[in-house]
Amino acid sequence: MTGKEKILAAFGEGSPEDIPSVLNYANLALWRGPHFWNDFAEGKPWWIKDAWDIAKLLEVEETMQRKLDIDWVWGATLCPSREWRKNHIVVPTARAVYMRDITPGAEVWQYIIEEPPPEGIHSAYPNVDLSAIIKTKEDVEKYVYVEKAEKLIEEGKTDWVEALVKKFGNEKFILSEIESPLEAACDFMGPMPSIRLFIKNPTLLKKLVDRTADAVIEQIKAYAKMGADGMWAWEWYTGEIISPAQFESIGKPAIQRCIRAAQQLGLKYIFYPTGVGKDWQAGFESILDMKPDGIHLEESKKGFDTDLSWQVNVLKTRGLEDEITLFGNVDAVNIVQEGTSEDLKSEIRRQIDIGRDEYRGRFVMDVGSPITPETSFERLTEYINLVRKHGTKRQ
Amino acid sequence: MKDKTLKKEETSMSQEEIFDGLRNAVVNYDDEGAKRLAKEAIDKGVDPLKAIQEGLVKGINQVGEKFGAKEIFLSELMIAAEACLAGMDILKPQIKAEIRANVKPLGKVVMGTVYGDIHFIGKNLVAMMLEANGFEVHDIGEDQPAEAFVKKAKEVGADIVGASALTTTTRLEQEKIVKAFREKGLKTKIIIGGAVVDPAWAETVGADGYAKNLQDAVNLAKQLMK
Repeated sequence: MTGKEKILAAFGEGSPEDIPSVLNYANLALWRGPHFWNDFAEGKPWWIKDAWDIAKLLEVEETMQRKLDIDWVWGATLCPSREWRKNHIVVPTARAVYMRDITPGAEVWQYIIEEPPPEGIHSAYPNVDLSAIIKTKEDVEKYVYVEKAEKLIEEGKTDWVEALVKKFGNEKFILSEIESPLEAACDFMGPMPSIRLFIKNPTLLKKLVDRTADAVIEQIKAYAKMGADGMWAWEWYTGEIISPAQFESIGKPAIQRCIRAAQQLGLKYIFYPTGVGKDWQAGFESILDMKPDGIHLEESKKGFDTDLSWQVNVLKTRGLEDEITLFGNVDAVNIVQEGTSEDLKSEIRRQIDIGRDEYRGRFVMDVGSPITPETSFERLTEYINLVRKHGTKRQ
Repeated sequence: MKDKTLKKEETSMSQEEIFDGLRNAVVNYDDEGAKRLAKEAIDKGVDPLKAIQEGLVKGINQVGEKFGAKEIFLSELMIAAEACLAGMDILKPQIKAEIRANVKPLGKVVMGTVYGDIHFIGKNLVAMMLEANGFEVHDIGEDQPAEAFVKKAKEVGADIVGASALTTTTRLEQEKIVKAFREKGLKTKIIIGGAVVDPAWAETVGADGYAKNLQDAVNLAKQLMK
């Protein structure tokens, strides 16, 4: 079976045999940690990421896929437009590396782009705060732009997705990523203003979330058109940050629209919510109501229990075992990075046994959160080899 | 119009009613109400320190209990804390200089989220709760490198630095912060927190303490000041 067939089988399309092996945020965790970059880039400079040199980035992805042999290609997301890529060049000098804008007829200007530090970086989403601008429903319409799928494609913003599909699409499951609409709307307003809106102006926030969902759905359409297989959606406001009533009225209808839009286009929607677990089962149950195709919970932390056997139990109790695929959540720090080989082996075996035997193979093996920059390449391959070994169909 | 009516009602409020009003403003997430009643307290010559203790702090403690009992959620706790601080901002400067001299903060704390990490909720809540419990808090915000913690701590003469990290990839920054302080010979106590932080990690990086939750953070800070 190809990686794609294995993952589709875990989603109920075919008979599950080998347990698929994937890594969430593979581009983020691996490309942004310089030692991983060196492992996969084979001498290519770090700034090809900033320049969006698609041909070279494809070569890096190919090396990574060859060395790690995971079953999906992560990060088939929008890239800068063709026009932007044509008009921006990277200029490395002895002093700094510059991104130079060479748009014809415009003033040439440049800015410094920074090399990731040796220990790697985590994605730092920009702190946008439009709360001073967006005060009314009309402001939402005016400032939150919904870019149509056709336009995204026409401007070349889907070129990276198209390239990945063309290169790997026959063998691997191509996974695009969207920002969940509640999360995305709150990012527009900035963290504290969003929290205030939940309490003081939920009507405006709901309008913003709905509008954001419109934009996200256009992205989903564009990804589907390019041939992606699935969507990954991370949502931060699913935990005990907001009340269940706030989630039900403000977030859930928009998230549900995105899930349905993806499903209608034949895409698998994998939901990665934070803050739900045994201690907040009501939140987990609320997510199950929306019936995404897959659910991936982070590993248990600080006594917050998200153990896989508990997840299986909840889904089976609700009769959802044939509708929702579960993802493994091996602890990225305490097991993959710092655990002994025996710890790693026994946890992988335990999770695969649960996924295969108790959940009848509707299961994809993964780590709970992104691989850390401190994890060595050897440790990463040890993890992957163990998953392959224990995940192969028993003879 | 509504404000005028309220103002009229408030002018005839007793001291106890003002305290109740301040407490209710916090419980009802009403920062404007907290500000208005704080001004009212000053206009009527109510002891501002008493207004803080009997009104605002009682309100935030009541909200804290509701949060502990899962009757309310983080967003509500944060907005209640904002209302509490809005009232405090007006009342605190009115505490007479001689009283202020005798009512020193329990300690000075610099709070921030580490470099590469933009999560803020835990950090903001701890900052607010520390302030409500008598600490002088300087919040340097999110995505802050070790040098920013050092700089602010030196500037304000901090007793404690609180560094928050939510992700597996950013908690390394906590180690850098501890190192930066120790390399400069600064004795500031450093406490760390965040979803991926546990006592073992605190020990690994050489922090002076780890707080699992809000109450832990307040207790730990008080403990470190002894």
